[in-house]
Amino acid sequence: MKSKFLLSLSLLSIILVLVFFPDTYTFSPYNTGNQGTSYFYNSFQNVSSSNVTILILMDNINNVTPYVTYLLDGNILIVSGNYVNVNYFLRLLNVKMIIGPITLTNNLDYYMNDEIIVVNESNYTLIFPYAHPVIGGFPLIKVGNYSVVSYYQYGKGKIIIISTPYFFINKYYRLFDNSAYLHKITGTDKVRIIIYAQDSPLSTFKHFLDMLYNFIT
Amino acid sequence: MIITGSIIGVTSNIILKHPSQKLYYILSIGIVNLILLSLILESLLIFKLQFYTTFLLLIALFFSAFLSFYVYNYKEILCDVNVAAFILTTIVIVSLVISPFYVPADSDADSLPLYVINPMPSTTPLFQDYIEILTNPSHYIMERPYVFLPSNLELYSNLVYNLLGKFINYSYSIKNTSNLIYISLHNGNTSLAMKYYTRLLQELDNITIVKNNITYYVNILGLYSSSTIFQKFLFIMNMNYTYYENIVKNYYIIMSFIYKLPKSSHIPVEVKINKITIPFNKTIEIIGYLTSRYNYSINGTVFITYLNRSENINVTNNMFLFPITLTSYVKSVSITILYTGNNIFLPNITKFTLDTNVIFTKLYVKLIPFNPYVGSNLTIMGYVNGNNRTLIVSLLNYSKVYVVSGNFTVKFPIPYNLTNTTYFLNITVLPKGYLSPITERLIIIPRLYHENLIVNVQDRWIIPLPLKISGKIYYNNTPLNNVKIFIFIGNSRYEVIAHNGYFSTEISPKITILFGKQIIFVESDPQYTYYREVVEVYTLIYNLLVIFLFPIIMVVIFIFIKRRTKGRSKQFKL
Repeated sequence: MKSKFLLSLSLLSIILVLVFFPDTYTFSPYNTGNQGTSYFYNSFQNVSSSNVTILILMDNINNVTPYVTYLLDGNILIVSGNYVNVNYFLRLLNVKMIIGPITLTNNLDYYMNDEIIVVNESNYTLIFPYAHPVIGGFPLIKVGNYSVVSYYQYGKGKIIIISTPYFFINKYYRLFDNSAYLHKITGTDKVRIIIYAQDSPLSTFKHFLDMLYNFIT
Repeated sequence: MIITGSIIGVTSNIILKHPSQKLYYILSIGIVNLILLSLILESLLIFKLQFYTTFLLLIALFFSAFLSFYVYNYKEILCDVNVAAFILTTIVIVSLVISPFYVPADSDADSLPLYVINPMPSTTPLFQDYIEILTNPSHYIMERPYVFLPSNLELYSNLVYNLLGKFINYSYSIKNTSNLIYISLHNGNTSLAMKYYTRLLQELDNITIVKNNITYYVNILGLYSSSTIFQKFLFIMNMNYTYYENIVKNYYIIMSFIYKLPKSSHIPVEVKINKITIPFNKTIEIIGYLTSRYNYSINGTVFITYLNRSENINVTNNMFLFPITLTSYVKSVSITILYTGNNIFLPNITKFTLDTNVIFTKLYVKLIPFNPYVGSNLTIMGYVNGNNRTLIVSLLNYSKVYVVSGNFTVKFPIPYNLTNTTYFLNITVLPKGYLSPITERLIIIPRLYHENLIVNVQDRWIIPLPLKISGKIYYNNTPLNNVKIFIFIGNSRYEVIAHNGYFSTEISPKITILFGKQIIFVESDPQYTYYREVVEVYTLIYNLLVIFLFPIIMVVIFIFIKRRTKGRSKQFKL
């Protein structure tokens, strides 16, 4: 009896390690450090079907058919990420938009240095670290002559491009009003969040536990 | 390696039956472990090197062989569920507790670049804004930058903004008060001028304090900006300050004359001079007149300031005369004449501007090409006004003189002793009569030639044999002579001189390295004319000494233990 108890205790402790072991992967929703996206994840309810999807691309997507049908149904897709991957995704969607390869600077409104732009947009103070200009579409937020957030009408649906993925990382997400602005443009708390970034077995396991917990509750 | 080590440890425990054999085995393995550990520590602490992968693999092998030997001995205890579960739980809990120390939240091989999460504060844009304010004070009223810096820097930047506001205000009031002094002296109101002068001195005091405070705070902010923009700001601020200081200095000279004036003076006077064009390098005399409402003859002194010179001239019968010689190339000369007054007449200050006959030299030059090869000719095309002008082209300490007029094309040979950096080419036209001199400073970046460097090295470096490195160095099939060749292997540097395009050297073996890829950098150091070339080659090291190391250790241990057991058996016999 005692040995069974000890065995189950050791098994439990292994699971505990997996749950509490810090996830250090960039853009991981379970990473509570500066590079994670836990604040962003916690500020929304990640649901499996919503009319708003936030897509962060740090890797290339090859199959875009689900996104095309999703957009043609009249839904909103908010896209951000590494500009090379976003440009590749936009090309596959046949959207006439592109993210320029230069990093924008602003001498007048900035946080720490001129590459981390601060924008005042209708009572919101937003921070765009290392932003690129979005070329094409209708500008929503402009810095000088360049747009950092733009939207594009795609059939019945809408694509919104946020030109820097660092908009979402913990270090900057709560620094100013990035969260409030994102809630304003999504208009809902229930969104679908998809992050294409480097995946670790640890975060996959944590995701599995999360799903299990949601299923039970 | 860990698995192999464990297998070795367990099998040796099974095979070796006799306890003394087991003792030899475990002692030798233990000593090898200690040697490896000391090598790692030495390389880390004394030589400040990263330990080699070979070392790490070897220690994993020997240490696991060492541990597994004991584990096999006490396998019964470990097979007990309670003990195993206890050990497992302890390892898990300890690793969980200490996890934040070995897995910091922000350091990962695939993490974002450090500047994204730890941005370096930069005050360069702030200084650009300060410069904008100083050069164009109306910008101060406009919107300030919306900048977030670390709180201490933000405090200083706000202080500097406020102080710049004060600096601008005081500069305006200095200008204003000095104008008031001028007007009151022009109208002959000396007492009012004295009052304004006292105010002017106070304002200079204030602006000096503000300037010193600004300098103190910007020195702190300047640490976070590019040095050029910071120096530019300091230069512009000091220039502004000196401008206002000079205004006060001028009035100091004027007012020192007026202190002595008696109270009886009451008639205002007017100053006039004959307006002529001042010729260059010739002395001419300028005649001045003093007039008043009454036909009294005016006597006394005038204080004249022109071209950085000041003179006291006597006035006799309303007239004064002063010589002027123009020696600097200027378009116009400003002359300030102060009549210091006497017991009848009031003082007066008047400024005149006279034109000169000086013509400024126009020089347009173009370099073809701007990046010439060393030893080649540089074509300088251009235009200069005037006939037979002397043109001097100089580069470092080498210069050449030409006589040109109108459109010209000259050829300037580029010296050999240059490197591939930026040089200033000074093109000077000497003055001629009333034609002024002019200097143009152009940039040239000389190009050097690329030589070929070929290095041959053996694929394998078997230690203790030396390594032979040889090679060729040539340009366009012409071998280069007496060129220094440097060879870098790890922290060691070897030097060899190439003769007739060939070089060859032998590198002494490195005993500390067991096995691995060795990168060798070979660098040529030609003096001038050719670029420095770097070639990277590599070789595989096999240290044969390792093969001999184990038997030696084993033999030493064996002899040592045998002697001890012999000694014991002798004691037993006795």
